[in-house]
Amino acid sequence: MSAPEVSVEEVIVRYLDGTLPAEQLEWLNEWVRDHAEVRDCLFDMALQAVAVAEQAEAVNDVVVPVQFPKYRLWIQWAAAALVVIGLGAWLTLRDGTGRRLTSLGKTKPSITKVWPKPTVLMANATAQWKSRTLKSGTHAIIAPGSRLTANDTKGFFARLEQGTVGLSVPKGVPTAALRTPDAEITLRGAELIATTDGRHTWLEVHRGTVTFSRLEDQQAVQVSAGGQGSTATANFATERSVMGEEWTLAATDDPRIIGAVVTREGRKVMRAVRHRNENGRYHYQIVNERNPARGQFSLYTAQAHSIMEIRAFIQKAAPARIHFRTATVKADDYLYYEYRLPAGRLKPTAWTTLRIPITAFKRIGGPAVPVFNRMVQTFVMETGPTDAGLELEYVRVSR
Amino acid sequence: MEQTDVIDVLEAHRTELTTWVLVLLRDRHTAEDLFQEMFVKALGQPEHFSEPQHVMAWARVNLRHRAINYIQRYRDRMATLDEQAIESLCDHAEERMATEGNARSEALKDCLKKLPTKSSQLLRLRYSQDLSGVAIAQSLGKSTDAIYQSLSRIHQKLRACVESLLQRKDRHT
Repeated sequence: MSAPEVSVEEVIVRYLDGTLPAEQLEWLNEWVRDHAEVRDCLFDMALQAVAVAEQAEAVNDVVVPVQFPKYRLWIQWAAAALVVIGLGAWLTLRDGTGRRLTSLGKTKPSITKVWPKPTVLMANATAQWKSRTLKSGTHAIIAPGSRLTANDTKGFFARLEQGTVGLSVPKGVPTAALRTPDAEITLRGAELIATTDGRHTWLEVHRGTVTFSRLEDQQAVQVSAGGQGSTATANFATERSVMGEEWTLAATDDPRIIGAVVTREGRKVMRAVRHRNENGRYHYQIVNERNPARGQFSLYTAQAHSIMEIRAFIQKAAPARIHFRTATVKADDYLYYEYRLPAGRLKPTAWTTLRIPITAFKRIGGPAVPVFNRMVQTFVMETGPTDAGLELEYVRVSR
Repeated sequence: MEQTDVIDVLEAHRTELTTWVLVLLRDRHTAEDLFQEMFVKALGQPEHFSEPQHVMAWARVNLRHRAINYIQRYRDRMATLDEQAIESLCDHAEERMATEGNARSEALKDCLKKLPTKSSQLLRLRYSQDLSGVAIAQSLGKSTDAIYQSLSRIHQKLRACVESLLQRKDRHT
């Protein structure tokens, strides 16, 4: 077998990334079998990967990808020309509401063009989620009570006036943007969920990286897959939790299953499937198939309720503690409650039903965080010094 | 041994043990899960161990079995090394951990602090935020090959730094 023209380190980087071509995997097999220094190199690089991850997790570090500057002359000239054109557009263009387009943001410009006239209207007055695949290949799913207009002829330009929309925009769509009353989201090849109550916008990104701009003061951030952002002055997820809802095709095919919740807390990923019962109430089945573990996930409902009933099941005999937190979040209010399950309440290898009145929740304070007028429940599961199996079934929410 | 002593030993070598499984499985989360399962098993039988070296030897064997079982179960879904290469790696890893302990990962912590910001950010995007080379390239507006080359150069620098620190430490002792 001939020696490849790439460095061992590069082959190992690709191996760890899972993108090593089959032919090069054969080379690596041969090298690992025959050369102790390659085995050392592989261990050293993997050790570096683990150490970097541990170090970042220890300080709860999140890196926002920022493009490195390139200093080629023609790019500088092109950039200068764009600035002149953009400045002219900013001075002259106005959006559909008559407001001046605040497109030259402080940190990242948004799309500087007059938006095309909408050709698609998705207004959902029913109680079911609606989905539609547009000409550009963009898949949109819109929540009950939401209204979205879009133009899909050259790129994808959509306006969400009210409610929640999930978008899956293929990479091939050259320009894509979603605008809400107070924000603009520009993307290329991404999956996201955006919600607006007309005053603030809340965003979750599941694939790709998007630029999320607040129109009011032109602040912009880049939100990558797994991240979320809000145009409100603070974000309730100020802890480490990054929660997302992943709307699946199954959600539209099966009326009982209306979505899947995905959350990433530290190192763990948990999934939940949300069913709608015949009586219209929600039923969450939360299972981390690989390792039901320590973690945090949030459930959102538009309606406040007074009692929740939860069935919990511990798979292994391990010390377990579950905190249930609930917060009523209004536009200018943030209440943060916690319920700690009494020690020993959950018995291993048996389902335990917990009927917890909201009055049992103890207020533990928290900063005033203007976000949305909705109920947020956060389940914090801690299962002792090690991870143990835990399944929760959110059986019923009653008013 | 007491249960708390077993926890101390395993926690002190968590990085090395997880690294070993990562080399075989390529997935850090799965590597951590297997470590956790081994951890739970060890905590259930602290009386089984007489000294720290015994705990580590048991942990290495246990993790080796778990990793190989995992590979056998999911081999059709994951492109990993062949059996001979895995056997060589396992033997090599056991020898390396027995002789070096966690000296290398301690030196690595110092080297990571010395990295330039850009290099450090690139490593964190790849290994902490688990973005693939392709995703990083898209985010940064670079080619995928350029990202892989940058990562491999950073790894080379870190290896050189660690070797130099270990040699300096050897000279002092």
